[in-house]
Amino acid sequence: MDEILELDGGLYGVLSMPTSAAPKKTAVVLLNAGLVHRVGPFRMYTRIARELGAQGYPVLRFDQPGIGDALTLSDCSPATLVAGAFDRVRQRTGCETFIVGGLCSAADLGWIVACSDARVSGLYMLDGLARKGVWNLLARASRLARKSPAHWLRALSNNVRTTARTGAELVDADVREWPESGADRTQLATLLDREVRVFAGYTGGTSYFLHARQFAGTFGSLANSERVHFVHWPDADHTFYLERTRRRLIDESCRWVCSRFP
Amino acid sequence: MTVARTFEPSFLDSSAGRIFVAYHPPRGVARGAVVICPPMFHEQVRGYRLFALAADALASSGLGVLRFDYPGTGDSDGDEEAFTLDRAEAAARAALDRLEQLSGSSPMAVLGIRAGAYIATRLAAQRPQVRLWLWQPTDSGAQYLESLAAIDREERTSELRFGGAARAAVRAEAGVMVGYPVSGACVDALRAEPDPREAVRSVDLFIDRAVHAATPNVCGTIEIPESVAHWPLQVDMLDVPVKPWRELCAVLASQWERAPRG
Repeated sequence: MDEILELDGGLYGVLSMPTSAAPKKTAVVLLNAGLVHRVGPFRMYTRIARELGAQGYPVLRFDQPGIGDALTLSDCSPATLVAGAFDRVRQRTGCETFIVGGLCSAADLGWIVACSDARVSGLYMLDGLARKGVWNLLARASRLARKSPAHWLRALSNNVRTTARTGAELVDADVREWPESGADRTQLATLLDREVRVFAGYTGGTSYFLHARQFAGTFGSLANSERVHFVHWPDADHTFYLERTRRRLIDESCRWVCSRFP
Repeated sequence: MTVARTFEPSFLDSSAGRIFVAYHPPRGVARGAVVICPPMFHEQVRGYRLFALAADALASSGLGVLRFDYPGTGDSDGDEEAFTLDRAEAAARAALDRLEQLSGSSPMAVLGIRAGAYIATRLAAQRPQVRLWLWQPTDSGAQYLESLAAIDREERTSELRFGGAARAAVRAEAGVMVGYPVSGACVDALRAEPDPREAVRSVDLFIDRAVHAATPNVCGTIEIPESVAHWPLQVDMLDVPVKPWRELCAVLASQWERAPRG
């Protein structure tokens, strides 16, 4: 059953309360995916929240300032607002630990919050941090090889035009809130030492993640930690437009939460 | 930091199940009240913030506004298959009743946005004293379904969405409308819907890009600038053109005294 939860700074959230007889000790907080309000792309957050609620996990969805129903901007940092949301969820449910994150910018903010708030025991990242590296180059080359020469010329021309317009080609790290290259491994190591569990799901819908081996390329041996759950769905687009890919995401996410946070 | 919220979110029981509602009380001297019937499918999510801002603008001009999500959409109870036009109408009726309680004897209007016009015209037919406002209303249900199918085709063949290897494998999904699961009964009911402009005796205010000033049953019109008219075509959440949108909403609020009914 969903209810309204008042948050700091005039914000509010929709809290899916556990509907099972055995409420869990860990709550989930889903953050805005880009500019999409708290229901998530194609209502995926609402569905995840209710399915986890049926498994005993409280799940909060709320809008950050400037998105959805949060009509005004705020001086507070997003991480501070998320920490405040943890406080309100704890008061309402008694949960002391949290899984935080979501899709795209939500994964980025989830990472920042996980690094700064010791109450985070789970980091849920969909199309989150990853570096391109050599495997990305190989994947791009493989794709290009399947295209016609006319396509190569168009791609080259577009690249030249973009570079001429912007001075340099924008890379994902320029538009995402990612740590400096190198700091990412240190930060993940710290999280894993804290026994934070990480869900890292990647779709085929980003420009930066084209090959599954980029994950290990980014995080090295940490990628193989038993606390890290890596999934690559090349057939899914970034916002899980297809119902079959969305259903698979919801199932996989719920399985991960239930198995790692019993 | 404390920031006052200008509206009150809650859940409301209706004969179609529990629905999410957001009430924006009038600020200053109360002039009337407006219930907003939202658009459907991707337009509901794409337009969510736009019409939250519109509600806020109307409230600041003395109009009480109630927004709600149809059953099976947004934050309302029910999965996507629970969404039908009859349930949407039942929810809208409950929302109108609730707004009537909240606003006393104020004159009222129902604002139907896009396919929400199908629901708004049903309400207006039942309550002749309630003004009918239509915002970029869809055409007949059959035409609307055709336009959704065209958008779906475009999305499934979009290189931006399904670039690379995934693209070739993307087929239409049965029982899914622009990414949203939908029941056959709902599709059938939509197909039978007439053009909302022809379904009613008169439209008090018609808001669209190219206004049909010559349409005999339209009392007032507002022409929408191009910069804020294209949102229904966007499946993904892109920019929110706040400034021109607020200007448009201010024009809308100023129309209340024109052609009052009842």
